[in-house]
Amino acid sequence: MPPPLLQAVDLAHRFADHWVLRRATLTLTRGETLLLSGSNGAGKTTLLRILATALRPSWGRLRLFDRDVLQGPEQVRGRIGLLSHAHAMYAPLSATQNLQMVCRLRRPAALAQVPRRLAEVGLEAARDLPLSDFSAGMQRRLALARLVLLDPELLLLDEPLTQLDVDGVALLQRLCAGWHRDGRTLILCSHDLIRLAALADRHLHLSVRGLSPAPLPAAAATAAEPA
Amino acid sequence: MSATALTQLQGLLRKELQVAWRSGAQLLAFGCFAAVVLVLLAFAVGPQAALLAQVAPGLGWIALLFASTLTLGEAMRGEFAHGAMEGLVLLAVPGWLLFLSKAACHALLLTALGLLVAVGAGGLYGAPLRHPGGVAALAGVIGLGAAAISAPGTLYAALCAQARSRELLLPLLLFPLLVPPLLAAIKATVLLSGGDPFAELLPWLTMLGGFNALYWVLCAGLFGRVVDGW
Repeated sequence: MPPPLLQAVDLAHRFADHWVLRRATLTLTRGETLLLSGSNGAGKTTLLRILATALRPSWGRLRLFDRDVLQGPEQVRGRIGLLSHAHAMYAPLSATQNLQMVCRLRRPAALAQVPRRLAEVGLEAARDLPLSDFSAGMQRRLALARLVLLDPELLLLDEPLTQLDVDGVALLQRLCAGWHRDGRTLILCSHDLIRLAALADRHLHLSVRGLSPAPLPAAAATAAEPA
Repeated sequence: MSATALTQLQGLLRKELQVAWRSGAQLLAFGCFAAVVLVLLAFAVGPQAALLAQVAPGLGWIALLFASTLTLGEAMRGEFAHGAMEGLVLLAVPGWLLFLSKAACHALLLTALGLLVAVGAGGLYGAPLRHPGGVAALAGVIGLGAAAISAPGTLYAALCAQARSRELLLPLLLFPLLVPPLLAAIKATVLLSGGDPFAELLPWLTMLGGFNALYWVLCAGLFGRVVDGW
């Protein structure tokens, strides 16, 4: 049996004296899609940032791709994609320039795909506009195009539906379904469980007591806080 | 340097130049700020032409130093505003490459600004250029001085980027570190301007080069620790 793609044991994090994440234990196998929910301040974003190796946990153990990440995250970083609240790109540069830069740094072979990816996310007409002229929804779409180009094995999507219009939500659902079909591993962190539940294999709820299993789809809509 | 690192460095340098090109209005603002500092300092010294010509190299470097706190702060603000620097770190780009691209582009920008300041100071204060090396030697000294400001400046600007009082913190941390290389740069500029009968230029340039080597190696090694949240 292959080792799990992600193994987190008792992950915890604190800023100064305030614990923002407590005892999160989680195992993910390759190809699995996890829906992660939790009330405001439960530590969902902190957990995703730790799993993306953007933030070192104050406590706990973490193995990704069968490597002990606490010993050094460099080996796994290129294999993880994070969609966070910030778009992680340069506001003065155009959409094309931003995506080309990402390709040059990580996947030079994907450079030729940039126009096609921009068209896929509906930004073909805005390809030469600086990012500072983009609406929040357009920035979100560009961040999705960036993820598609990077083609990571583990995708961590923090509130992916935020700022997206109806077409944008459909686009995101299509992308997630495609990633799932291609055997990518996903964590979808959201308050909007209904629209993402169909994409997920299981649902975990994060609270001050840690991560606990919760029901999927319709039942999840009524059971916001598991016992 | 491996082929991957070289490709990444090219990509980063290209990005820096694109951002600088798209932020052209800011460059104009930095130039105007340096010009205002030069004019104000001229008023502070007074109307004696000989004295103004004598102190012109020092005043020019002070104007450039003040302007550098603006250029450094602005360069790093764009990196941290929308998590762009974190995005680069998570793409597994090594910290020393991030440093090299940012510091090199800042040094280039500051050299260009320094040349403008030199023209302004020369015209405003009537400072001559008596060294046989002429403009090329002056450009070399400005380039070395700009590099000596840019290396620790880039590191400290990244360190202060997310602090609440970053505008205050950056010069407080940076200026003490810049005293030795700036002293060498000013002395070298004075020798270029007033003449170098005792061949003192080379020792000052060696000192400036030595501080550059020290700062660039140290800061390149430390930059990853500053920008990586891990």
